[in-house]
Amino acid sequence: MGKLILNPASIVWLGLVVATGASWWMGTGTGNPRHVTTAVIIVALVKTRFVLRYFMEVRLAPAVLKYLADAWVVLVCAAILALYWNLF
Amino acid sequence: MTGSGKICAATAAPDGSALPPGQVAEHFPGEPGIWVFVLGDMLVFGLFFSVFTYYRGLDLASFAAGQATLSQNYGALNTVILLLSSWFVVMGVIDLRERDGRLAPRLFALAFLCGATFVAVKFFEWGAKFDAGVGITTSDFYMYYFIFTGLHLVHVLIGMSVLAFAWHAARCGVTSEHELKLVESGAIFWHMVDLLWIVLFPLLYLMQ
Repeated sequence: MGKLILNPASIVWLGLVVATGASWWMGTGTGNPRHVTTAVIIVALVKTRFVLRYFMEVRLAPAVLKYLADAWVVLVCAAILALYWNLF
Repeated sequence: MTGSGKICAATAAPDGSALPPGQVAEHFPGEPGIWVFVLGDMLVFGLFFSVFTYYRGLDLASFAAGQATLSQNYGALNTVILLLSSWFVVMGVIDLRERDGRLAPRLFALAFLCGATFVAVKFFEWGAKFDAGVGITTSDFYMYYFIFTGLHLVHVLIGMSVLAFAWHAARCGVTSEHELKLVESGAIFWHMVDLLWIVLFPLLYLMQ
């Protein structure tokens, strides 16, 4: 079991839990709402990239799948932030 | 593969030789078909996220009032529960593919329990809303809240049946590459369920 846990995915998992705690702390805090929301959205989409690459094993996949996964992360992050900041 | 019916070989290199421990060969995760489904589903949810953000911008006060009644603690708790389940699934797949697969059934069962806990928290959360007289028609915010969390919940339930299949397969012994690919595909679906919640949580609970 020990050797099984010693895996890059375990370190990524720990980082994702810490990032979730940080988002919760920021989102329920008293910082500038616009800046907090922007940070929380960016953190969430960075988290999804780690899930795609390390949990869904996209990092081992052919380049086309890597590009599609990254395109989704960038597209969704850009769309949410652009709509949030009323850029359209 | 072994005669006992459980996969136990290290990941094989293209020439058939075992790779050094800790080194994983480049491979296509799961069946190609699962990626068509998963990326399609992610695209649809991406559209949902955009629609929600757009309409929130048109009625900030109403959306803020609706969000103020949500429990950020429940949302964060469910995020951690799904992350934990994903970690169990990752370990289960690695155990099947690169080790003797003896721990895999327990790991998939633990992931299933996490899924069940997520569902329980969600029903508790929804129950509190219904008790307070809040429903899908109360406001635009609640319409999106119930539809998005409801659609996600359907994905969780489908994912739990996929985890039950993975548990059963691991318990009976994954004896072929095809079976291993099916379990990998199920794992990819479950991680997508986790991924979608990772965006839904800040969108519904934390956006200010």
